[in-house]
Amino acid sequence: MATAYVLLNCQIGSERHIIEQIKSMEGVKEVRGVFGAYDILIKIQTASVERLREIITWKIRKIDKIRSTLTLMGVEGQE
Amino acid sequence: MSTAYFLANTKINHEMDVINEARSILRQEDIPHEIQGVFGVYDVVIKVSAKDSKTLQTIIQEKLRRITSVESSITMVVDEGAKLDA
Repeated sequence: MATAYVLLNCQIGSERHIIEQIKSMEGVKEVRGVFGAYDILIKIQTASVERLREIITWKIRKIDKIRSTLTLMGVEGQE
Repeated sequence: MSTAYFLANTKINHEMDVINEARSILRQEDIPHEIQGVFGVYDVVIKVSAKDSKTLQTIIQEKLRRITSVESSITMVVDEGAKLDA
């Protein structure tokens, strides 16, 4: 099981629209609008790291109005 | 219900110490939580929930930020109005 947290910043006002698109994506366990240095936090879990990378690179990072993303890869055994 | 994500940087090589201490404190106080060590700009992600924002603030300031070997942290409070659970 591979886990990652993706923190993203988006254009102002686009948070709800982006969350709507993300919540139904494969592997997405949590997606929350947050207050702080980032706008949206996503927790993704998949069977493999390769699939995790694909989802982040080709699904999440392709969404319109996302300005930047920061990915934190979970360390197995450190839960 | 208020929820926050606490992202911490730890002293190098002390990631497990922080994780274990956080788990111990949060279990002892019966605070709903998830903990994950990570690779990236931050070292540990801790998700905590409390019945209201005041309690959450206390947990973060008096419990999490005081964990030995936490060097720095950023906290992100969930916007309960925007929450859409997958």
